[in-house]
Amino acid sequence: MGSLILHNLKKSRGSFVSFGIVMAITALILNTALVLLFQTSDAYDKLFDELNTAEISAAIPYAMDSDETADDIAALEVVSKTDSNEALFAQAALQEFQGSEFTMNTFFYRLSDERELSLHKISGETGTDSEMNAYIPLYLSELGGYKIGEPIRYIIDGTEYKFTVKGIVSEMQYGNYGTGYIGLYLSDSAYDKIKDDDNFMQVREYLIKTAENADIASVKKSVSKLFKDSNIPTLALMDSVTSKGSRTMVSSAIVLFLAAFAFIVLLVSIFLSRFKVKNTIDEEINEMGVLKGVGYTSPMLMFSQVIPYVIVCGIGLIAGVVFSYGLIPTVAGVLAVQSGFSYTPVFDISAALITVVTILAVVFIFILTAAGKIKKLEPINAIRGIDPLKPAAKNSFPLDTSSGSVGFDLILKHASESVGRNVLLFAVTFVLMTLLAFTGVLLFNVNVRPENFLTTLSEELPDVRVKAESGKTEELLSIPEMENVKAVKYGVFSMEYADGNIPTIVCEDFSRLENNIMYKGSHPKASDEIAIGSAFEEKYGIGDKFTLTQDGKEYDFTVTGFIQSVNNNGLIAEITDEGCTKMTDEPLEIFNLYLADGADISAFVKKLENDHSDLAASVSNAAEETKSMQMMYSSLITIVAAVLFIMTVFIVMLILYVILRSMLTSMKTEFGIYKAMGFTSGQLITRTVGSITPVVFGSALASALLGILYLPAMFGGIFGVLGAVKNNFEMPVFLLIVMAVILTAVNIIIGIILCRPIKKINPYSLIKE
Amino acid sequence: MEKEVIISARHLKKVFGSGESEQVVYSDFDIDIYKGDFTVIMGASGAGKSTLMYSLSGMDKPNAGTVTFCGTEITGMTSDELAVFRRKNCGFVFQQIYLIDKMSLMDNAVAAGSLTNKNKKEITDKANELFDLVNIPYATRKKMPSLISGGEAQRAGIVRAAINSPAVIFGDEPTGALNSNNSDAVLDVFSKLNAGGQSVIMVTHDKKSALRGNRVVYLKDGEIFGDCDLGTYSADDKERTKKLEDFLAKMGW
Repeated sequence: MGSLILHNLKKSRGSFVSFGIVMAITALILNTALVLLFQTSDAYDKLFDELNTAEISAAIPYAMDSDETADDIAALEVVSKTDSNEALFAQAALQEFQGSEFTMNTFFYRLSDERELSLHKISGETGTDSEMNAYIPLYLSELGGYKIGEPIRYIIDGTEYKFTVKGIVSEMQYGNYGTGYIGLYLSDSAYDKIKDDDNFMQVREYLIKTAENADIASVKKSVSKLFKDSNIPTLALMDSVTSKGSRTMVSSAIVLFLAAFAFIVLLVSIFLSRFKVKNTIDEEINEMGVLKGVGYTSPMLMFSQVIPYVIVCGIGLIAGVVFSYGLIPTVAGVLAVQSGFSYTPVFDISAALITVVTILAVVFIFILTAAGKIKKLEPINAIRGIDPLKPAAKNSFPLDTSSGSVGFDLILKHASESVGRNVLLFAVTFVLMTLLAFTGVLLFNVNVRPENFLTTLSEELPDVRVKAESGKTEELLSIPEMENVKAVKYGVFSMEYADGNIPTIVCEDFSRLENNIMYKGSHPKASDEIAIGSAFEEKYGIGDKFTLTQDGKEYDFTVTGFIQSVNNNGLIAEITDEGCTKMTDEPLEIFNLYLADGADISAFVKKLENDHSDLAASVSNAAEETKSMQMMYSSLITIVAAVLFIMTVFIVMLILYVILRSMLTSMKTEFGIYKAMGFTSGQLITRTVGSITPVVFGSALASALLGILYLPAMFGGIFGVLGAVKNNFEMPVFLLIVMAVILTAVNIIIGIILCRPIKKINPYSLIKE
Repeated sequence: MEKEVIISARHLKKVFGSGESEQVVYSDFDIDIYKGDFTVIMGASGAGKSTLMYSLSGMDKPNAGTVTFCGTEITGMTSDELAVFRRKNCGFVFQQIYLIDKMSLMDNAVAAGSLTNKNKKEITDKANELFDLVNIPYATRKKMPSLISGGEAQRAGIVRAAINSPAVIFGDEPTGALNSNNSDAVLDVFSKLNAGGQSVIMVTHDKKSALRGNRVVYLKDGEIFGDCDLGTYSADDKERTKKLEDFLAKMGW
């Protein structure tokens, strides 16, 4: 049987190579997804432990701190260790963050402060020193583009603070801005220089290590209650679970994305291998009859067909796993930009075993069932070419009676000859078109209509954000530059709720906003109404009471709806301007400005800064800020989508290769007859490619049009993981149809190239054979 | 009256293999085939009969020499030029028949006919005329090749070969796979076509088939060893039969 297996392997070398490549691609993607899935979380936890990071951190105004507070925290149940340090807090507008301004809640720490918990690691320290040295997190370095030795500038309440980047710091407390906070570590001289500046709030940060297996959420709740009971406002209350979730969010989405892609490619490979096995049996039915006649058993013949696939599949999978280690560091590096922590992926035996064994087993079972047909072959009938499972040939599209030209009828006749081939082509094209449609629509919404992507991932996207000088709101809004500018009172404030702090959007009228982030219910209209983020959906319902705390006083709000916020992992709320005033007594003097279409936003911002600085306390180009912030997502998604797009086209090529090679092999005699009759190679190539084109186009078009129905669900599923329950993606029918046409055109071009061997078929070979 | 040469081959050389395994089938070979003749090519196995026939028809390319077919030199043509040339000038009937098994008999004929005529009705009429000639009933014409006898299939093969009214019909042992009755029926069709002026070249091992020809060329060692003029075919012509038997005996048959 060994020689028979070898013979089968040699005979269809080209098809086996294609099959092996498709399997290698499947393994490459799946193994990459699994390694990232297994190791990202482990590496995160390892670094978390290595840096002895606190599970909970809480920042309170320094002035409100006392020895009692520290004792009370230490006395909490399941708290195993506490530490505290001093920091400076400010809403700092980071300049030149990817070329624009990005305002972040920033904690400025003194690097030399002794710490027992939440340590940090420094990398890439330079030899040169300046008075204003700063150590920035990996996130700012990778995404913001700040290099060691270069300056990093902040503007806080109109004052510029310039530091020199001395090193990169790895820490697991904040790390990226998905947590809503970021930390910057300063040299002693730099820290001392800004320490007494009024633009910074001096804070005490408590770091809390919990006992093993403690319920972090309930500890966080206890800490929050402790502060509330002591009338101490919290500036930040973070827990490690939320922090990890936000930092590994994109990584999880990409793992899901890759796993889904690997599954689709595997599905296609199975379709393909089953087709090839069945086709081989059809082609070699006489040979199998002879072999059965001389004493080969059905299992021997079945395994002689199946084992070559298993061998090739195994080699392809192992190669894919090996090659994936060339890709994994790159993907991990891209993910590090978003997560703000990096690690070096290592060989993962469990990922490799799952990839190889699972796929091999699935392929083996599906191919074995396809080869089961061999059992039903009776030797003498098989020698005569009689296939018991094959229906008698039908003369579809009779040339003498059907309408249309003979040439066209011949194409239709050829197209209708093999139901199995057509089913395979339809299924494979449908699946691949789904992938193309998904990646194409994603690329369209990220690159051609970036506003759709941005509004899905962001909250409100004004052109300009302006804060009026106290009491000068009316005056500011009546300057000539404000003509044709829509101004909406809008601000985001950190407010306390039962479990900590929550960014709360305050707006005078939510109906005047341009990005509706409400996905269920309605925006608050009355002063006692609130809409809350998707993270609360399990716990609260519309009509429930939601309590916010201000200066130790509780305010009850009625939940009117749910909103989404990718940046805050669904931990967000929105209340009306009146509702906020009720709590703070301070008027909201921050506005979102929406300029007329085509207006020069930068020029408008400059004008306000230069000519109206007496009215505008701060002005920022919000459109630029948002774009920068979302760039990390869009660049990641563009890379992943583009890679998947290219891979899909490559898989189309491989599949067509296998199908057309099978066709050319099984139709060699037929082509010889046609050539003897006087058909040219060009006619035969056109007819062969033409015979698969209707199925390919029909399937691609059906998939593209049905995409309007299923793509929103796919996007909903994937972006739901990121926290975007509702997405604003457009599904342009025209684009989908164009993509179906492109896929068909690619099929035709590849088909013509792959059918070139028809030219070499010599009618005389009929006689020689 | 002098016969018109329809195919003229000069200095033909055909070699299979190369180096030590090189086998020269024929070399410096000359032959003329005449219009309206039923030329039979005979010879022992391996004498190069089929090789010669396919070289003359442009189905295979000789290594050297020229073939002039209906006044056109075909040896320099590309594969596609030869395909186009064959549409109008050659019809082939193979021992293995080689009907396209996914098409009815009628479709086999129409597919070939469409190469020279775009008028479907004209093609179908011509095909029906030929099916009548070869005695294939209307219902059988719509059947698939797998559902008919070998004799019917071969006669359908002749219809396909003749549908474009080619200058020459080439038969490569067309009765080789048929029983006696079916062979006679097929040979009758060839004779009928030849009687209507159709030039035929047929390779055969069979004396009965050879009797249908008016000229028998015998190949031996890559050369024309004998060339016999049998005269016009008529059934039960004992004198012709004796002449062929004598010729073949002389050839060492």
